[in-house]
Amino acid sequence: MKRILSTWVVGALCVAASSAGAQGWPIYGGDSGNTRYSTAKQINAGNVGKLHVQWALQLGTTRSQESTPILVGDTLYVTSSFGPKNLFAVNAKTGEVKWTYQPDVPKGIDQYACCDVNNRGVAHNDGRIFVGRLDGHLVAIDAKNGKELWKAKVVDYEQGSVITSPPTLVKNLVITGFGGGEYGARGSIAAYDQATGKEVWRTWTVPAPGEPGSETWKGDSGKFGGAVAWHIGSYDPKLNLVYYGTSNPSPWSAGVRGNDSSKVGPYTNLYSASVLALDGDTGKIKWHYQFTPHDAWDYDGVNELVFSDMTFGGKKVPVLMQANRNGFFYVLDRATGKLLSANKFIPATNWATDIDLKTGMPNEAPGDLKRPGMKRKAVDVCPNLIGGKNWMPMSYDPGNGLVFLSTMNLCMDMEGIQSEYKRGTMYLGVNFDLGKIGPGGHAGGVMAWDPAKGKAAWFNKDELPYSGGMLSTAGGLLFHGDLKGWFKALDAKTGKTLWKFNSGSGITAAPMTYTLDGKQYVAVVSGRTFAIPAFFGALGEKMVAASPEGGTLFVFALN
Amino acid sequence: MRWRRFARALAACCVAGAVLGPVTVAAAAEPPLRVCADPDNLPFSKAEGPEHGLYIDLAERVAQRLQRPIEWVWHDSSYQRRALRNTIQANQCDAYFALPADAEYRARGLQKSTGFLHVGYALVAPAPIAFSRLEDLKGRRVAVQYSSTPAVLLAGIEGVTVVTQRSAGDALDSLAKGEADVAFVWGPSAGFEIARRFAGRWQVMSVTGHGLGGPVSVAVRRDQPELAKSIDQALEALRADIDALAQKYGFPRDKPLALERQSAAPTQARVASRRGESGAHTTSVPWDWIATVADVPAATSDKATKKAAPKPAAKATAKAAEAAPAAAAAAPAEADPLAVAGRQKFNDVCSHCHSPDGASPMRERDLRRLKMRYDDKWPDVATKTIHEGRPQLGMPTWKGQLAEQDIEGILAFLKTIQK
Repeated sequence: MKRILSTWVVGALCVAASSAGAQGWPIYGGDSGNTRYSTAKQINAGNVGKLHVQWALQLGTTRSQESTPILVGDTLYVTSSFGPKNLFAVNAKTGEVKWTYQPDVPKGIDQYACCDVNNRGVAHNDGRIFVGRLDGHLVAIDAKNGKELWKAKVVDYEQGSVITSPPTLVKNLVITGFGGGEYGARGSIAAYDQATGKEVWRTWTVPAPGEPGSETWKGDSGKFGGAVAWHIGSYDPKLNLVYYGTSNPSPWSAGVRGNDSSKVGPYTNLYSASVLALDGDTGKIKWHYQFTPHDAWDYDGVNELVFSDMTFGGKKVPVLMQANRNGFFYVLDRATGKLLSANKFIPATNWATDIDLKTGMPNEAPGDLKRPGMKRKAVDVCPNLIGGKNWMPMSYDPGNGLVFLSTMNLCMDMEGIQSEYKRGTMYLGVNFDLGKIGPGGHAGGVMAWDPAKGKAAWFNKDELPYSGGMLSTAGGLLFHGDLKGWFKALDAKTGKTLWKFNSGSGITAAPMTYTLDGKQYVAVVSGRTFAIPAFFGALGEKMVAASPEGGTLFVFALN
Repeated sequence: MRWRRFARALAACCVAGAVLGPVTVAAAAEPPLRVCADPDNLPFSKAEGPEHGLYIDLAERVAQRLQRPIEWVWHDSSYQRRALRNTIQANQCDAYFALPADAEYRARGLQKSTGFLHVGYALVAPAPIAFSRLEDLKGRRVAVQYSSTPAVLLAGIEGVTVVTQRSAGDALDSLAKGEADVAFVWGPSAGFEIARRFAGRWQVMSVTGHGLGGPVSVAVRRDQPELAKSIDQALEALRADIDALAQKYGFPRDKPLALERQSAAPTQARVASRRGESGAHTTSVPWDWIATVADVPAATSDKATKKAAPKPAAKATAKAAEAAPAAAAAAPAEADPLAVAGRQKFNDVCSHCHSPDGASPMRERDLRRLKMRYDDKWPDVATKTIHEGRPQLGMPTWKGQLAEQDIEGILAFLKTIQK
C-alpha cells in the first residue's frame, strides 16, 4: 500500500509539473518548469480577432505590476505591486472579489527595493496560498478566506532585501530567496514547512569562510557577497531538484572581490551569477554552473530556468534553458549541470566572444576592453546591465520547439568608481551610461528562438525596450504586452500580429490562460514599470511617455 | 529660544489650531530661510534627539546672522541626486546643507558656497602607527566599511588583511574586539562614535586623496545670488563656530595626509596625532585633493517632509482636548494607571483622526495594527511619529506640545490595543 501510495504521489507531482496541459494555470510559470505553455486551443489564429474583455479588476496600486495570476478551482489569485498591497481571490468567470488580503507593510519600504516595489504573484498547495512580501516575510494564507495562517521572517528588509517573486513548492516545503544584491546582502535560499512556517533548511549562496568555494572570494569580500536568488525557481519532481539563478556579486566594484580583470584566476565569486541545483529535501547544492565568472557588469543569472527535453548526441536529455542577461542563451543538462550549448541571442553581445563548452568559461573580449574596472572605462558594452533579457518570463512551445522572449538591444559605458555605502541604502560602485541603443537602432523586440539550432526563427523589432512576458498556446498563438500598453496575439510561426487591445498602461507582466466550463480565458495584468526608466536617461523619458502608470487585471474570452 | 524648537512647537500649534478654527499668525519681517537637511545622518544632521548635528547647528547660526527665521525641510539623502531633485531643485527649500564643494560635483541650477569644512576618511588606531602611504598598512588587519573607497583601495594592495564591516561603528567594534589593528573609515562617523562610545581612547589620522574626502559647502539655487552671497559671508564670519561645532561632534580636526603623494619622503611620515590636536604632525600637507563621489554618508526615505511653520507667530495656545469627541472613558479593568491616563489623553487629543480608542476604519490610521505593521519595533516607530509627526500625511508634531509623560501614557495605552 505504501508503495502504491508513493507511486501515486509521484504521479500526481508529475501531473502538477505539466498541469498547464490540463488547461488550468496552477502555478506562476504555468508548470514547475516555467514553460508558460498551455494546451488550450479554443482560441486560435482563426478566431482570435473575436477576443473581447470579459471583466477587469483594478488592483489598487499604479506602478510596476508584474504579477501572473494562478487558477485554483474556479478562483483566480492575483497580487498588486507594493507589498503586495493587495492579494485578491476572485471568481475566475466573473471577476467578483471573494476576499482581499492586505498585509501591513511598513511605510518607506520602497527605499529598500532597488528596482521597484513589485510582486510577481503567489503559489498554492493544499488550501494554502503562499506569498513573499517586500518586508522580507513569507506568509501562508487560507485559500478559502484570506486569513493569514503563519508568517515567517526570511530576511531583514532593512538590510536592503525584499521578496518579490512567488515561492517554489516542493512536497511539504515552501522555498524562497530574496533580493539585495545592490545592497550588500549575502544570498540564501530557505525552505519552510508549508503547514507551520518552520524553517527546515537554508542554503547560503555564498560559501562561508572555510567552506568549498569560499576561496573564490578575495579576502573577506564574500561576507557581503550578494548572489541573491530574487527571481522564480523551478522544480523537477523526478530528479527532486530545485533550480534557482543567482544575482550579481556584491559590491559592483569587482576589484574588491578579485583581480578586476578578465584573468579572473581563482576569484570567480561563487555562486554569484550562477544556476544552483538544490536537493529538494535538504537544500544541499547538487551542482552549479556559473554564467558570468567574476561579474563586473551586473549580469544577474536569475532569469527563469525553463524545462525542455532536447536531443544531444542522439540522446534525449532533460534540459533547462536560460536567456541570460549577458546575451547568451544557455542549455544545460538539468540532471548533471553539464553545459550543452551557449549561443548569443543578442547579436550585439560583445563582452565575450563565445562560451567554451568544455570549461564552461566565457572567452572575454581581449585586453579587458569590455570589462569595466577601477579607472578603466569600458565603452559600448553590450548588453547593458538591464541585460539582453530581464525578468520578463519567456515561454517554450514544445509543439514547435521555439522559445519566445522579450529582448533588449541596449549597450552601456561603465567605469568602476568609488561610492559610499550605508546600511539599507542602495550602493552602486560604478558610473554608467545605459541609454545607448545597440546596432540596428531598435531598443528591443520580441524574438522566437530555436534552442536546438541556436538561432532566431523570427524577430519583431521594437523602438522601446522592456516589453512583457510571454504565453504560448496549442492554438498556435503567442500572447504578450508591450510598454505602450498593447496586449497582442501573434501567430507563433511568423510573429505576425493577429489581434491587439490597448490596456491603457504598459505591460511587463506575463499573461496566463485557463479554461472553465468549456470556455478559454486569457488574463494579463497591465501597469507600466516605474523605476526602471530612471536608469535610462533620454530613453527612459520615452519609456515613461509611452503610457501612464496603472494597475488592472484584464480577462479576455471569445464572444 | 532655538529656532528649530520654536518652529516645531509652532507647527504643532498651527496644525492643532487648524482643527479648532482660524489662528491669527503675525507676519514676520523676513521670509523664512527654508533649509534642507537629512533627518537621520549624525553627526551631520538629525531631526530629533538630543543632538542635532553640525549642519543643523550651523544652519541655525547662519539663519540668525541673516536675521531670518528657519524652516526645516527634511529629506533623506541616501540618494543624493534624488534628494536634490525633490527638494532644492524643485524649489522646496532655499539652502541645502550640504554638498561636496568640489567643482566636479555638479548639480543642475545650483551654486555652492565656498567649502566650510573638510570631511573625509581617517585611520583609527589604538597605538601610534607610522603611516604615509597605503603600503604602510601591509601586514596589518584593517577594518573598512563595505564598499567604501578604502575597501576598494586596499583591495589593490597585497599583504593587507581587510576586515569588512557595514558601518564605521561596526568597524570600530572590530578594533575594540581586537579583530583589527587599524580602522580606515569615514572620519566624522568615527570621531563621533569614538567620543561617545569609546571614550575618545583611539587616535585618528585624517587622509585625503581621490574619493577620500573634501570640503563641503552649502548649495543654493542660481536664481538667488544675493542669498548665496550672504550665506558665504555668514560662513566666513562663523569660522570659529564651525571649528567649535566640529570639536563638539568629534570631527577629526587634524590636517589630512594626502594619500596620492605616494612618493612622500620619509620625513613626511608622521605618527597618528591625538584627535583634535591639530598641528601635531610634522609636515605641511597639500590640499589639492579631488573629491568625486565622496559625499557625506547618507540616510534614508523618499519624500520631502516639511516641518515647522512658515512664519514666526504669536504663540497659539491650542488646547486640542476641547475638540475631542466624547469617548468612553471607562478603563480596561486590568490596565495600569499610566495606560488609563494615556487612553484618556488619546481620546481627548488623537481620536478625531484616529477614532476613539484608536480603532479607525481607515486602515492607515488604525492604531491597533501598529504591531502587525512594525513588529517589535512599533513602540519606536510610534514614539518617533508622535514626536516628529508626518506632516505630509496630516499628522502633527507633538513634541513640545504634549508633555513627555502624556506621550508615555499614550504609548502605554496603544500597547493595550495591539492586535
